[in-house]
This record gives sequence, C-alpha cells and structure tokens, in this order.
Amino acid sequence: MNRLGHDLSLLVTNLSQLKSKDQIIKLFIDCIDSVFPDYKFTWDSVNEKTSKYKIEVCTRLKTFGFISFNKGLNEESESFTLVQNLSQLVAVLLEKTEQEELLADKELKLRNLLHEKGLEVNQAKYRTIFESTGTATLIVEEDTTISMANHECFSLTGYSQAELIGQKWTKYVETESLQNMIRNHNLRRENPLLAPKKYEVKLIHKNGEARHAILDIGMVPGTGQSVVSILDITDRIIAEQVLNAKADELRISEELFKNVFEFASVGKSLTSLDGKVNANKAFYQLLGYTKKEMKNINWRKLTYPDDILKNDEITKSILRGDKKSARWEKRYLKKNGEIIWVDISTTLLRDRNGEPIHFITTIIDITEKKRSEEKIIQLNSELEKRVMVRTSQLEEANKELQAFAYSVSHDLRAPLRAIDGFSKFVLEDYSSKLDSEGQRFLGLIRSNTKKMDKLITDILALSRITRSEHKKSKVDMTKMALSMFNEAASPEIQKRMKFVLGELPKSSADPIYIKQVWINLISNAIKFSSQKKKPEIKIDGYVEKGFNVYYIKDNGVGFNPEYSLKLFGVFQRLHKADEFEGTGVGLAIVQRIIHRHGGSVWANGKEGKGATFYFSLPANKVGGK
Amino acid sequence: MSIESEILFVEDNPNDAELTIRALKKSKLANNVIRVCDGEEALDYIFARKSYKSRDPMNIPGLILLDLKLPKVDGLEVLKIIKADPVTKFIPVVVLTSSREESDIVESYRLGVNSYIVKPVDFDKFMDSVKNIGLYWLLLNQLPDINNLIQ
Repeated sequence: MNRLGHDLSLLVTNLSQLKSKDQIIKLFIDCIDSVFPDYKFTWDSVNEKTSKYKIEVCTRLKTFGFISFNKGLNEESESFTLVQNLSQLVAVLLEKTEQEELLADKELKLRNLLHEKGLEVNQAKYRTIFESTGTATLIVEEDTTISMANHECFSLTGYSQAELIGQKWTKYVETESLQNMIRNHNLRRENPLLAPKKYEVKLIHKNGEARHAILDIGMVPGTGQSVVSILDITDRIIAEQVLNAKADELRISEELFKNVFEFASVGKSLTSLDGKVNANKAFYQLLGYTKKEMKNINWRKLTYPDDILKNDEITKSILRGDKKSARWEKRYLKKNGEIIWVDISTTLLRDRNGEPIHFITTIIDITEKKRSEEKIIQLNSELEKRVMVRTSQLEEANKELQAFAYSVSHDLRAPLRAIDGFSKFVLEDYSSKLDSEGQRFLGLIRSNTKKMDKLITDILALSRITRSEHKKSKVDMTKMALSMFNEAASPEIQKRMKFVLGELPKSSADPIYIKQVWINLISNAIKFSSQKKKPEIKIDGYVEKGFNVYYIKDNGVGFNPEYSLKLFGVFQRLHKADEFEGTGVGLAIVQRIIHRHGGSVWANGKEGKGATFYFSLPANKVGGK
Repeated sequence: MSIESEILFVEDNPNDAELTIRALKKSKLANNVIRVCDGEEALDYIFARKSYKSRDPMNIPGLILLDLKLPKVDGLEVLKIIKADPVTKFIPVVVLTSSREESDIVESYRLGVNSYIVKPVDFDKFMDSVKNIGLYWLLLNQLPDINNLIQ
C-alpha cells in the first residue's frame, strides 16, 4: 500500500507539471491502467456513449469526461475508491489547466490586437524612412527573394519596384561579385560577426552596363530577412579611373620631360624665381662644372658680370608679363674663368592661376660663331681701312692724272703753238730767202703741229670721259642723230649722199657724251664713204633684251673683219695715215662713253663692202621708240 | 687819272708772249702793251706796288690779257683779286689760255671774267683771236668813266 500511495503521489506531482489537458488525461489513464491492469481503464469524452461501469471526472462546475472500466471492479472495493478520488484530483487539475489555457489565449488575442495596431503605425513610419533614405535599399528574404525595393533601386538598376519585387536579388549581381556575395551571405548566417557588413559588388543595369556599388547589409533580428543598402559608386570609380589615367599621362610626360631635359644635347636649365639653377648635363658640362658643384648655384654667379643687368631686365619684363619668352645672346663664365657666348632662350612657366613657377632656359654655345663674327668685324674694319687707303691713293692718282691732263692741255700746246707761230713768222718774214721746197717743209711742220694738237685734244677728251661724272637725262636720239649728221657732213657731201634715218628708241644718257658718240661715228662713216660716187649712210635702231641698239651703216671702204676687235683700241688705225685722216682715238672715245653708260659697242664689216657700227644703251629707264 | 688804252698782258711763256705781241702788232693794237711775267708782278703793276711803286695807281689798264698757268700767283688768283677790288673790277679781263678744262672755265666766270679764250695752236687762228679780242674790248666795248666811279 505504501508503494502504491507513493506512486500515486508522484503521479499527481507529475500531472501538475503538464501544460495541456490531453497530456494530463493520457498520463492519468496510463498510470491507473498500469496499476490496475485488470479493469481496462479508458477515457471517454463527454459526448461519447459510455459503458455502465464508469467514473465521472468532474468538478462542481464542469464534467471533463469519464473513466470506463469492466465489471470486474467492484464499486465497493478500495481500488474503486482510490480511482474515484484520483479522478476528482485530475478533474481539478484539468479545470485549472483549462482556465490557464483560456487566459493565455485571451492574453494572446489581446497582445495580437495591440501588436497589429502598433505595427501599422510603425510600418508607415518605416516605409517612409525606407523610401526616403536617398540610397537604393532592398529588403531581401532568407532565400534572396526581394520583398521590398525603394525608388532609388530603379535609378540604380533600371528596373521598376514592381519588376524587382519577387525576383531573386542575385539576378542583378555580376557573376564575379556573386561568388563573393554568396560567401558573405553564408558566413553571416553562421556568425554575423565574421561577415563583412559592407563590401563592394558590381551590379548589372537593365541596359547591360555594370554599376559599381557598395552594399551595406543589416539582418532583421529574429528573421532571415536582411536590409541591403546599395551605394552607387560608379561615377566615383570612373572618376578614379580617369584620374589614374591622367596620373599615368602626367607620369609619362614627366618622365619624357625629364629625359629630354637631362639628356638633351643643348644646355637646359630650370631656374627658380630666386635664381637657383637646376641644370642638365649639357649645361653644367658646357660651363665646366660637375653636377654636384652646379646644384642650386645662382645664375648670377655663372653670368659674365657685364651681362647680369641685361639679363635682369629681361627676366623682370617676362615676370611682368610684357612677353612670354625671350631670346638673346649672353656670356657665361666657365668655372676656369673662360668666357663663353651662348644663344639663350628662356620661357616662364606659370601655374594655372598664372603664378610664376620657374624659368625654362635653353643655351647653345655660340662662342665660335661670336669669335668668327668678331674676326669678321675686325677683318671688315681692316678692309675698310685698306679701302680707305686705296681710295685715297686712287684719289691721289686721280688728282695726279688730272694735274697731268691739265699739264698736257696747257704745256704741251704751248711749244706746238710756238712751232707753228714761228714757222709762220719765217714764212712771212723770210719767204724771199726760201725756195719752194723750203716753204713746203715749213708747211709740213705746221700741218704736223695741227695733227699733234688734234691728238692732244682727243686724248684729253678720252681721259675726261673717265674722270667726269655723267648726268643722265632723256635723250631724243632721232633728233640728236640728225643734228649731228648735219653738223658733221659738209653741204657738198650732203648733196651727193643718200642719208636714211629711222625712228630711234629714246634713251637715258648724258647728252653731252652721247653727242660725241654720234659725231664720231657719223664723221667716221662720212670719212670712209665719201670717196664713193654715191655714198650712203643709214642710221636706225631697235630694242633687244632690255637694251636699245643703234647702228650706223655706210657703204664705204669697210674693214677686214679679222681686225674688228682692234677698231676700238686707242691709237689703233686700220688705214694708212695718208688714206684717211684721224688720230685713232675717235672709236676709243665712243667705246669708253658707251661702256660708262652700261652699254656695249661692236662692228660688222668687210673690206670694200662698207661697215656697220653698233652701240647699245640700257633701256630700263626710257623704253620703247 | 686817266684811262690810257693800254693792255696789261700777263704771260710767263716768252714764246707765247712774242706770238701774242706780234699778233697785236699786226692788228695795230700794240702801241701800249705792258707785259708782265707772273701773277705777282701783274698785281704789283695794277696796284702800283714794289717795282711799280712810282706808277700812278689811278692809271688803270683798259684791258687785261691773263694767262691762267702762272708762276707765283696763278691767273685765277689774280683774277679774284682784281674782281674783288672796287676800282679794278671794272677792268675787262680776258683769260687767254691753253686750258680747255671745264673747271677752269667755270671758275673763271664765277670770279667774273669778261671773256675766256682758248689759245689756238694754229697761228693763223691765234692771230684772228687776238685781233678780235683787241677790236672788241678796246674799240667796240664801252666802259664806265672810272673817275666818276671813284668819286
């Protein structure tokens, strides 16, 4: 009995631990059934049809059911009473449990009610926040389905909110990023502390373009949901790329500049505003310094003292902005004290705000050139001196020549005049004492003095052409040739001569000398044709290759063309003195006058077939006929 | 104080002098020819100086025949002095020279020469020239009264 009592009290204790009615009933039935296996206890609910042998499980308020058993259990037995008492206890337990359940249910309902009311407000609040974060934000379910997306997601992905919701979030992630993302996703579920809260991914925009984004993931506590904020950094990435490219370019150009600067064959330097020179190899080698010695040396120390002032003026003017760059020649002092000349070009480098940074200078060694120039200057001055000496010598010679000509003109004639005069005196005063032969001799003396006089006159004329200045003016050659013919040809000759004069080109010449040319040539033509029965002279002219050409043609005795070059020489005569008068100076005078006018003379002829004399004058000033 | 019809003949070359004087004689103009041999003597005579001190300076020649190339003082210098003097500048001066130099001709006229004659080498022509000079300047040409000018 003790054992039974103990078991039953344990049962009651156990039953009171149970929360649900069914559990209580089941344990109770199992328990009594095991204690009294002979009576086949079963549980019948209230509505079920029951057997005759039963115990009602009830409180004053409610019946919970019945315990049925077979006829073996005597209602008078101790066992029956025990079961009956236990049933009452169970009924109380059931009633208590039922009341607790009811309370819990009510409480739950109340709580649900309250919860729903609050949630609605919160949802509206959170929705607004969600929509106005300014950042693309998604709510993603455990299985990566998008359950919410704000408007920014549209601008980020190109898909509308409606398109996004319900889709797998991974669909929009670029493959490579996806691997990383899955790893992070799994890691987060294992231990949220180990997974990075933020990381970078590439998303694919609807238009196919990749967008760079930073994800910021937060888990919703107690759910599998996560909130994903997506920051679009595509512009930043592009800007970075551009910047990198720029940086590369800059680096390359810097490298290039450095190279060009350092290894240029001409001297180059960067001079800071305070005058410090950063020079390349060619520069410091040119000045005889080492790289170390040259470092941060001031340009003034390198410059030849006399050239510093000019240099300062130039740099000041560039700094003022009068000009951007300058090029001049200056002298540097080499380390060993030698002076070198350079051709220097300098440009001021300014920053974006126009503030000066430094001067970029290029120098080229022109010492040799300068020396040559100095030499040339020296030579020139020597040459000038020499020319001056020569000129004065020439002037001296010219003066002497003039004095000589004067002397010839004056002194040579006086004896001639005396010879002629006194011969005449003899003829006048002593004619009775001379026979005819004596008188003839005196006549010869007198005619020779006249020839000599003519010769002197001609030679002086010739020398005067060279000595005197020519004054050019426009000359009507037709008119001049005609008047010279009339002067040279005696009326007797004119009467029997056929004279043809064409229209001659006008020339720019000294009329006094050109008159002499015509006189000499016409006289010649008359002289050498007058022995003909019907002498002919033709004068004409034409323009050829920038020259006016004049010619005078006669049908006289002509000349041997072999000697045509001798025609114009002084004292050259092609005829015997007793055939034709003349000093042999006339054509020399013609040639000299024409040469001094920049023209030329020539002649054609044959013995016995007449001669043609040509002369030309430059036609540049007065052209045409 | 009178103008005699005298010719002052300045010539250094004795041959030329003889030829000229003969030419003057033939032209019957040589009655009163004074010949001097250089420029200095010419000036001494004109201004009655040195060896011509006793000469009356107011008795001035009616014509001066002047060679250019002369010893001591040359013809152009003589001409210059004569033509610079208020009295003697009225004396007709004829340059009789061998020089055909343009510079001589120009300079002579610049200094106020009355005629410039180049002596011909041919004596016949020389004769004609001298004759014409004498006739023209001593007979045809009319000069102002020197006495009136001096007062």
